[in-house]
Amino acid sequence: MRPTDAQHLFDQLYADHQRALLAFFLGRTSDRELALDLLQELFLRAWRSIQVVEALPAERRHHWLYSVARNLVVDTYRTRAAGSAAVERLQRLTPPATVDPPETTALQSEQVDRLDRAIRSLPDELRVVLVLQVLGERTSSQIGEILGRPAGTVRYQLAQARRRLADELAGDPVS
Amino acid sequence: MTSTLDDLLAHWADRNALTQSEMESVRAAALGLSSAPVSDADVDWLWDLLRPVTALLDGPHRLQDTLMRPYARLA
Repeated sequence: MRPTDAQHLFDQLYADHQRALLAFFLGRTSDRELALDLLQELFLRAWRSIQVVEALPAERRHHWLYSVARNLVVDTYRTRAAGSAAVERLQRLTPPATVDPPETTALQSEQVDRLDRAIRSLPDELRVVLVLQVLGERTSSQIGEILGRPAGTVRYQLAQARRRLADELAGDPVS
Repeated sequence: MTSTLDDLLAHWADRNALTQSEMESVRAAALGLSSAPVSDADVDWLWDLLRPVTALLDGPHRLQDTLMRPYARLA
């Protein structure tokens, strides 16, 4: 495999999957900084193993990525038990260091902050499907494939997650 | 002003998606590249550093011409 082909494959994987993988990590950890670290570590491993990835059938390559992603999350939780600084961030659940687009109004920004807290308070299993849909832009079937759940279960969990968010935000001017 | 849950979720997603610079930085880190682009300030600093040398070469004494003379090269 020529270096240019390797980089081309890497760039293709990165373009196709970075958004959904960030959503996967964010859904699992509720910590954007940690999710970014994990995303970087994942693509570092992908680049180191690019020949292994290249040898896989194209339709199986994303399985490899999500398999490594799951292992990274498990490793992170294990390290958390050992008290690593990186995973202590997982417990702090600090607000994401992000900036709203300029057109966002102050009221809307406050509502998004409330929504953010509500998303963090969802049970893991509901949060990850919601974040994969909303941020990762994945369909129920794709989420089911990523998480190893039937698409019907994913649809039910998405409905549950949205209902909980609506309940949590009730009282806010959210319809 | 009211926002639907879908609107708020879309804003939340925008807020959490990778920015362009984060995308480039993660990619560069994974590939082992330097993600720090050369800034105008860096170029200015380099020119400032080289200015005394270029001034000698191109200045009134034309050091470059002197160095090109055969006897200067032999010396």
